[in-house]
Amino acid sequence: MGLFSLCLALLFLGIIFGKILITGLPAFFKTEIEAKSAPQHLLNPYAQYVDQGKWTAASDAVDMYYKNGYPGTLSPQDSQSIEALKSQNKIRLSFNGAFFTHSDSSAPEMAGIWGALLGSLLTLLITFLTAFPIGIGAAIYLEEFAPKNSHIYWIEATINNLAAVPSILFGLLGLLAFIHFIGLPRPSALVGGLTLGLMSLPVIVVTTRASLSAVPFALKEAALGLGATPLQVLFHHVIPSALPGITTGVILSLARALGETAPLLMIGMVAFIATPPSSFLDPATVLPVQIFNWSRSPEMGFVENTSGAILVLLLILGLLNGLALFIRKKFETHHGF
Amino acid sequence: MIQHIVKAYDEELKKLHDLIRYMGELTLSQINKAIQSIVDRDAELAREVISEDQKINLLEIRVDELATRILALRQPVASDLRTVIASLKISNQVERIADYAANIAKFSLNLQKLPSFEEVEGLPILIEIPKQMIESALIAFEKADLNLAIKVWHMDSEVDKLYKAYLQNLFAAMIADPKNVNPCTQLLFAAKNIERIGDQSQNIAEAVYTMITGKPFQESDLAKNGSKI
Amino acid sequence: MAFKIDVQNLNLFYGEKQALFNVSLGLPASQTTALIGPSGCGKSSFLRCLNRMNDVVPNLHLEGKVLLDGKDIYDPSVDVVDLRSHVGMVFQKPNPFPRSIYENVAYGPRIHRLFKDKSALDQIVEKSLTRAGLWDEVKDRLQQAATRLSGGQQQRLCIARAIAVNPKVILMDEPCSALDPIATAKIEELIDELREKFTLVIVTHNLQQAARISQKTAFFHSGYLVEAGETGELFTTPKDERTQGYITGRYG
Repeated sequence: MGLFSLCLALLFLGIIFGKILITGLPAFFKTEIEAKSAPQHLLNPYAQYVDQGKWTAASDAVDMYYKNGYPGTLSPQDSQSIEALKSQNKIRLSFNGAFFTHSDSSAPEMAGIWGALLGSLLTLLITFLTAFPIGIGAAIYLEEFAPKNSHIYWIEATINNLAAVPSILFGLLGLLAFIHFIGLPRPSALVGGLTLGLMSLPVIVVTTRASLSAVPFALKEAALGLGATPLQVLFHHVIPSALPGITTGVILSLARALGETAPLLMIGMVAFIATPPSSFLDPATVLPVQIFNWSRSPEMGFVENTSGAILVLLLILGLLNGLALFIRKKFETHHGF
Repeated sequence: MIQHIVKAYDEELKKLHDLIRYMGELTLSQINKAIQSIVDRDAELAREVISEDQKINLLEIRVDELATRILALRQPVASDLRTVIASLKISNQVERIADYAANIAKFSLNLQKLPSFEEVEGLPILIEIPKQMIESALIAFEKADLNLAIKVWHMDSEVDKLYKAYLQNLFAAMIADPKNVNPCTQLLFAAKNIERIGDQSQNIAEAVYTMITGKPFQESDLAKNGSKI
Repeated sequence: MAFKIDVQNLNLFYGEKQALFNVSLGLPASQTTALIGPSGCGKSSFLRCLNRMNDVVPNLHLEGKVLLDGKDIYDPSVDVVDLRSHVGMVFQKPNPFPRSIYENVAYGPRIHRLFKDKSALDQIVEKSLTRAGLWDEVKDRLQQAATRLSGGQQQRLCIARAIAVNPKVILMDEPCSALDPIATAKIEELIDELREKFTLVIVTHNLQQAARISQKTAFFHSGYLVEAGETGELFTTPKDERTQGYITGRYG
């Protein structure tokens, strides 16, 4: 029974991933026509300013037609011209580096994820700097030093509950606290990072505490018995021992934050941002929001952009999770309690 | 004393006691028969005593084996250890007493080859106290009765006195008539064995004393604690 | 004979519950004292009072004196961290640090700053491992993880670790209970050798072990010290009925 459900789940996932792959891969490629082989209206309007080489970028409509066979706004003659170019090998797909180096644009063939990537990076950096020190410090205090009374008990219960609060509420909190109350510019990476930091904080505290409490008491006893001070026990033994667990928790928190959309929508990162942010205070957007925006666009070109961006996001998340797994595996074998 | 948590341990110690008690009973019976065989001039009885001695030797071996086993497997300490060690000593002493009984039976056979002699009547009197000593010493071992053990210890002096008196009688008889030398010699040896029975019984009492107090037996200790008598 | 540690009228409380009742016991220098008694009798609690490991227990309250070389270790002026470099501890289950063998032994000297330079530390490590009977087995692999040693070797490593800070007293809480008979025998031999330089106090459930390795034995029962005396005497002629009952297995 279990095996059957597993196969069903894998089949389901496979189909969805396959669909995304099929729709998204073309985003990494663009259609190019050999220079001066085609009339102007078939070329990308900005191409003349950019491409100097043998090949020029085709227009959005041509791009869609060549990749998917979808005529769109093309006239029958245009379709024929393209067929002619095909037989003459004067039209091809090449790697679309622009997808990765351009920011958002109203023209789908010019749109890229760079701005969103940079925004995500800056936001995550702020998230990390907010949640990590405070979260780990709080966890260490609660686990190792706090007295066991009812006040502490309530704090612990509250933190545990906060870890399960829907993320959109943190967005509301961020809106009120950072934008209305403090007056930070919306929708900057700073605000986004702080909001996601607040969201990640309870989870980091919970996972860090779990890692700390998993350290066997025998280890602490051994150190105490030798005459180590409580701080020495903490920094020489407990934290190094709990580090794999803590690191994994942090990485997974960041991975989650990378994919968060709702709270960031609340603080207004939904706007169309054409220039990548140059500081933490500049308006920015993040990759999931970018995906969301593109998914609402009617143009055909944005369909593949959306899927392409999803693929990039999945790749990054996969790498992060893989990193977490790798760290866990590496330290498990090394220590072997 | 309360039981061991492990019942088998108690059973093994009980077996040790049982074996020694049985040895004691057999030995007393041997002594009785040996003296009887002299008085009644019963050769058959004497021969019976001599062959029965083997039984007691086998019992002593069994006690040895059981005690060794308990030492190896139970690692006894304190009172249990002292009990096992006492058992080894006492079984050895009882076996020797049985040997003395068998010796007396041998002299009985020798005496029957000679004409009857009235001095043999002295032997049943002489054996009386040693018999009591054996019985009481083994009871003291069984019940861990310190006072009884000390009482037995003191009884030996009485045995020595009676023995010397009997010897005087025998010497007088030998001097009176040279024909008496032969039977008197046999009786002398028999009496000597009886005196030794007394000594061994005293040894049993000493072993019981050590078992109970944990100290080696020293006469000076007895003198110090006059109330113990 | 001098007592290295002299415990006088020790009463120990965990909150409302009293765990030790007026315990007075002297632990002779350069000898091994064994603490025996049924589970929950307080012998481990007593042991942990000797290096103040009990301090980490909440609601702990202690009356009486514990004199180490004449000075009360519960005096407010005493630095617990320093105390534990003089009274070391080895635990029931070997608990080496998840580091190299060298680092395990070097940790104590490091935190107490007991050496001037690397070569001095190397010497301390070698001496400690030699004393613990482990040097020949590990001298070629000092950088290897300590957790790769066998159980018996790990326990000897823990002993080496405790020795490295040159304590006066070594406390051991059932040090052999997790080990096989051969490893146990090696540690018993080691304990005998350590007596020359250190004073040892050992809690053990194994009466035969207590009889084998100690010169003085103390029997605890329900928080009371029932009887303490020379080991040979206690095991052949115990003075107290309860001691007799416990060591012969007549304990009800």
